[in-house]
Amino acid sequence: MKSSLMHPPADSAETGSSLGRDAWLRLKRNRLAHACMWALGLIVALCAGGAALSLAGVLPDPNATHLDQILEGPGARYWLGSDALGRDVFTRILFGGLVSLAVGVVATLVSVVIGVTYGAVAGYVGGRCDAVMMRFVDILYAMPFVILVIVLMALFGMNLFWLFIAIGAVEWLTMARIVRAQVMALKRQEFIEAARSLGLGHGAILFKHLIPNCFGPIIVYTTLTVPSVMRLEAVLSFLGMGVQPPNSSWGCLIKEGADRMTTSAGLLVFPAAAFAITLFCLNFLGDGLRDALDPKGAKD
Amino acid sequence: MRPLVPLCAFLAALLCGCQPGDFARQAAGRGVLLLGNGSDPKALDPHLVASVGDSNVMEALFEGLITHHPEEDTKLEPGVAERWESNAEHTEWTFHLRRNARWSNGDPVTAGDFLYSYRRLLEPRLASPYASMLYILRGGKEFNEGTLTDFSRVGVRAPDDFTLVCTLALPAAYFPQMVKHTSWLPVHRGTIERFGGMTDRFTRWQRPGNHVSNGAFKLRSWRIHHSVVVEKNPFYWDAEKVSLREIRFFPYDTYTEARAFLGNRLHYTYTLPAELIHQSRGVRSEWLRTEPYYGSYFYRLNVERPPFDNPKVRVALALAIDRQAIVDSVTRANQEPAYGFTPPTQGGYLPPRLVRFDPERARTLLAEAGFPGGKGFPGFALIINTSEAHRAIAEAMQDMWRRHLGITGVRIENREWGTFQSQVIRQDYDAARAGWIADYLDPATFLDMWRERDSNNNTGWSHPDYDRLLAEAAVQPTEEARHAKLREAETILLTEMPVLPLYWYTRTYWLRPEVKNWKPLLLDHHNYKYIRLEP
Amino acid sequence: MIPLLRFVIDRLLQSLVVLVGILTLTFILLQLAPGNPFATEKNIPEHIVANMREYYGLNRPPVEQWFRMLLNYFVRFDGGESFTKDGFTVNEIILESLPVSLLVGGAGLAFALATGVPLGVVAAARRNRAGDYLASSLALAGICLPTFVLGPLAVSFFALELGWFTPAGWEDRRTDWILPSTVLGLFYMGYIARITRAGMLEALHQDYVRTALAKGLSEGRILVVHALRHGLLPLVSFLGPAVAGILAGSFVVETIFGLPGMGLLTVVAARDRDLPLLTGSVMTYGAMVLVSNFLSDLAQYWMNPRMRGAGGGLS
Repeated sequence: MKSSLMHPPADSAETGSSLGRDAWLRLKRNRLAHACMWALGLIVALCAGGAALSLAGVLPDPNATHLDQILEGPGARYWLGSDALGRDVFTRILFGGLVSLAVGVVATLVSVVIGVTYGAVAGYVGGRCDAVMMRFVDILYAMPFVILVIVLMALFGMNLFWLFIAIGAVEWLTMARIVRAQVMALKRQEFIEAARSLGLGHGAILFKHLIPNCFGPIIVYTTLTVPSVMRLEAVLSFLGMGVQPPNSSWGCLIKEGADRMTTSAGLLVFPAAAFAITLFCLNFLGDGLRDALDPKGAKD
Repeated sequence: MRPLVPLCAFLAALLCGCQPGDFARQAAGRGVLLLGNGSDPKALDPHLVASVGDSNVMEALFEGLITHHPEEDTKLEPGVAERWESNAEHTEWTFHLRRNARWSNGDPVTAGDFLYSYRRLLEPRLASPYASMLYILRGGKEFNEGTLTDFSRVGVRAPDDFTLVCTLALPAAYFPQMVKHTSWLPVHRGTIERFGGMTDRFTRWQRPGNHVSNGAFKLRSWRIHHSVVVEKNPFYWDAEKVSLREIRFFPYDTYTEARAFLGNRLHYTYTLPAELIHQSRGVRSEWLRTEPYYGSYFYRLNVERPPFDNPKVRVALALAIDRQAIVDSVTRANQEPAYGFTPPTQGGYLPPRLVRFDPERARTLLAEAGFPGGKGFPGFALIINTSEAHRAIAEAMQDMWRRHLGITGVRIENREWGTFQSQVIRQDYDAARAGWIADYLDPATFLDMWRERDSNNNTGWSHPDYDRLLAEAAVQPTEEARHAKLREAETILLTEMPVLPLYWYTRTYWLRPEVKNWKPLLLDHHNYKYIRLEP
Repeated sequence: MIPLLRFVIDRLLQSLVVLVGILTLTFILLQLAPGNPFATEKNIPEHIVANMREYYGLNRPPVEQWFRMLLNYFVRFDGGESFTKDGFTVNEIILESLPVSLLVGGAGLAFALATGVPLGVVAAARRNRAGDYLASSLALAGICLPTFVLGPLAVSFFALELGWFTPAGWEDRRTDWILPSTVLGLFYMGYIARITRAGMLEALHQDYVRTALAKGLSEGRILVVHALRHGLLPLVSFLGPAVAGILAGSFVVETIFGLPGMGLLTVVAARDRDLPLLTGSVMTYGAMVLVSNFLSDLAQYWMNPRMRGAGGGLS
């Protein structure tokens, strides 16, 4: 958490925006990260557009089975082939992509909301309360995440909503630690003292002044959480605990494909490529953002 | 990149020196059989195991009164009992034990051992999962439930060291078939009691070195999630007929097992995924074995929940499933589409032909039940336990109901095994996937469970005529008359349709050509005594 | 030395609290979780389930069960009897599985460090140039493809095509660890490379490195001698929790390679509702996390002179 400690607070809205503009310029200078951003946009647009076309009936229904046309290779009828139940792989990848991206984004948001609030409160209140709250984080940190997810899913049933919550609930820990460290460093700064002397309440100080000043590290860590959540979803698919059938996600499609890699390679190659490209872009974008938002790196 | 190059070179150099060669062939040369067995055994105690994989290990270690014939399920292979006979009503059976049967520590196997074992299995405090198999003994059920405490009143006694007499609660001509089951295997009293009491579940007697058994093999090692290794038992009474020197059981996952087989690490796979079955028809047909298996794949419907309280709805759902398409395109292992519930056996019981694919009739029935074109049909959940194969079948059914009946609200809900099983037992489901593998070769093992309040019923369905017919069947003088009664009962079951039968199982696996005498068996209990390896 | 001693004692006490917390949380979660640990393919009559529950003490009040568990773990160091492996204690099962995971995980970690750190250093030195992109992309390969794809691919190629390794199992101690630990290490390689890159970038902007550059010292020398020591600090703090994760075994890798390790044990125990075994493996994992976090803190203390000066400033 050292690097984030060195991050100077942006006191006013004005410097905040200029910091943002600087960061944007730096991000643009990182050609690969910039390209990755566009590629991600393209993937999202493709998935959403394809899904819309499929719902409109232009592209095939991803869940309609054709037991007389199973495991066909790519061709005119099925652009990327058909799967073991004769469903169109192309539209399944598009819909699966939407699900995977949604899991990635929503579960990350859940983790951000929990993590930021928890970390900020712990850091701001400090003292014994902070110690207790952080011991609780330590406890969860030391639990194997699969167990937590299995128990949560077993308790509440397996559906998309609980998948979001379960993944979000195990991913917030690092965020809480980062935010706590930031808030602890910030809360003794003059501008907070000033706000306090103006008679602002704790809630206002926390949410109007402290948290907005942690946005840099929060954004960076958030972009890095999305791919790791998507990976987690894939691991859960391996355990058979992902999205409920007949819907699919990239994780489920890759799992199905991995089982059939010797017989129908297309079932693995296409979804795995989509997944890998997306993760690759998200990771590079996250790294690029980190470089861009960390002014220390801008000196050269 | 640079550090990778020397690393790869180092690894390559290290490995080229030790290429494994054909491990399975070498093992065959040493008389070592390598079997995939699906999962790790729960126990090596015949009174505590419950799964199919566990019972395979038990068959190697223990031998019952009557054991599995190497070629024909219907035939009886003498085990510890040399011969046996029954009275005319089939209620009292006398087994004459051979005098040269030995435990793996050299002790003789006596009728007292069997008496002790049956008592142990029925002791309520042992809480054996399969105790109900011995309820056929007179007083067995009462003793196990604790209402009878005097074991001498249970229908089994040993007049001398080599005679065992079983008195049954009801006439059963198929009793010798039942006796083959793992729950009837004996345990060694001295060993059990050296490491604890008769009913202690947790003792060290199952450990290598402590374990004593009476089968063709004895335990050499058991490593959790690694393997169970058994070796030839020199004290076995028929030891010169045993050709294998060692059997290793591996608990590999389906795909891991297939890769291990392809890498020459196994002689036999426990299962084979659908896509590999299809592929190996062309390329590896010399390994592929597909044979009928005495089991039924079906769905339970909870008849206490609307709309399944209406038999018309249940029948409509059953008629809208294209079983042939599922078998041909989804499971792909030559299973037979079920036209009844009980699988037919050659020259034995034939179920009534009442289950078929008839979407027209299904639509009519659904309309009669008040859901024309599926309109207003409430959403319901199909629960499955986690498995790629179950999921594919459920997805196919879901789409068939949508297409043929217009039912769109079907959800497939995946549960891992523990949750799944407890939901079924508590009857907390709408429709639940199920499979039933016979314990013994008789239709009773499939039909008894649908009696009112049977612990395996779990659908809430019952019918007084059904229960009456089963009771009548038990006392019929001939097999034909008995089968006729059973068929009548099954007709009631299938017109009411509390279950949706899908297909009758096949066993599909890879077997290396070195393994000889591995014959197709309906119950898939192989007598390892007769298996040979020819490298 | 006194601040260090105080720090160690402080940490031990904290760890004890956390371990009690882990045990309690696991206990509560398992009490809540549905499912019957004694369910089998065929339904077992009610009175038999009741007998089994009594045998394992599950019919006692939860507080009493929890207290017994606490006593067993912290006084007797005993995890009790497994529900699903009759005749085995939890301690025995874990002691048999742990070495497998330690070996595979240790080798995987070594592989990840040996490849990830150089890749990260190269990427940092060639920031935003082709070298950076190449090294970073290479490092990301292990993150972007799920392990359950890399594993079977590696088996198909190195074991089935080339015949260098056995495709599954744990028989030959000389070679059976190589393939699984490489697959496991590939995943961590990506993270290690990225953290190293970020740490090195920061280190390269430190004043003393800039001074060294100005003095005209060779780039390689600066990288290795001056920047690396500072640049690896974030990696060390990342390795704390990561080491425990990698050493505790990966369910996916162990399933694919048929290894009798801790990851498989944990997931199977959770699936079969083997409460004592699951508690035992969660506790083992927790203890490993605490130990490796502690070691990583010590390493940071040793590596960072500023922290050493501050003494108690570690937390």
